Amino acid sequence: MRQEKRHKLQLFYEILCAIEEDAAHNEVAKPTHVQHFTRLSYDKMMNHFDELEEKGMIHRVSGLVAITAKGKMFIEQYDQLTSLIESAGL
Amino acid sequence: MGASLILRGHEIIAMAVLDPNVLNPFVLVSPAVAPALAAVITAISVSLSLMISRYFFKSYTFSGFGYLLGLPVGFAFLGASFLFEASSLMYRADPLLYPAFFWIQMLLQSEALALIALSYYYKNSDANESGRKVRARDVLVTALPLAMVAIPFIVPTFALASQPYFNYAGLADLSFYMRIFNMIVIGYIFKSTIASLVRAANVKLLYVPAAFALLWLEQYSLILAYFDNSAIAFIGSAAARIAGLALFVYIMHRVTSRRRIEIEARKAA
Repeated sequence: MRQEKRHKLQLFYEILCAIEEDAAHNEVAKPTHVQHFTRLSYDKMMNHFDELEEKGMIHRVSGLVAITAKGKMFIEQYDQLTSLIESAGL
Repeated sequence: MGASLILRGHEIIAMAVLDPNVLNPFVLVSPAVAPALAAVITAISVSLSLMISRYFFKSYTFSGFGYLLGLPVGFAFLGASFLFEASSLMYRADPLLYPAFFWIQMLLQSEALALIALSYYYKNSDANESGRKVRARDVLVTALPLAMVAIPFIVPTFALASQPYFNYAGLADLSFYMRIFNMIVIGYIFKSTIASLVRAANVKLLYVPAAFALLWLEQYSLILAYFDNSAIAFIGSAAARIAGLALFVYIMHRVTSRRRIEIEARKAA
């Protein structure tokens, strides 16, 4: 089935949520788990990881990935944005 | 003696021209309470408009979605239009500032509603659609707010240039057509929000169409006040405006605070 094209913000949100979800148990998330949650190709996901790390939303430790306070803040703000847009009928 | 007669004559002309029932509807209310009432209604309306604008501005700066920009700018313009409405009342004895502030208010209000409608238009327009017809429609829709800036500026300027004083009755007729335009624009926004409501099948989204319906009712009541010079219709329009804006603020506040509570609950779990 053809997947709807996702906006970059939405992709970041899904990646960060996947990391947060997976890291809830072990503090850090495995990239393969994040890939499974987000349904992205490995290469694309690694590119997004680079960008998120540059923005200070995640940090990587020996092949594993963890979400930062800034990343958690992004999730909150994105949640609020989507609710606001939805409630405005947009 | 001669000078005083000339002055009296000028005052009589000014009074005849400044028909208090034509432009700013605040003059329909008793002069003893009009300034205080205008100050209260304006303060509430401006505060509510700026609060809504702030909510949408934060969303725009966070997301960078271009189509969202019409909302913060539109509501900020709406707030500014209420300020000019109060200013025109303050300068109602001034033959130049009274109509000038009235026209700035009309201009800002129509522009504000057109900008808000553009946000809904660009969100709803199908990105897959292409071709000359769609492009022509986009150009037409984008040019509409520009026309709404141009008309209220050009017509009174032309009237001022061609006559020694404003033709107030004629300009009030034009304001009637602009209110009709506002009602059509709000009708479009209402239709868009109802379509979203049906798509999402979420009855909680009913608040936003209700808020726009109240703003539509404000314009309708102002038209009634224009025809029968009814203070009750004007007070009704002010009440509908404040209720509509307050409902909007309530939804924005509720949505953001509820989401915050949900996030905190998720963190705690």
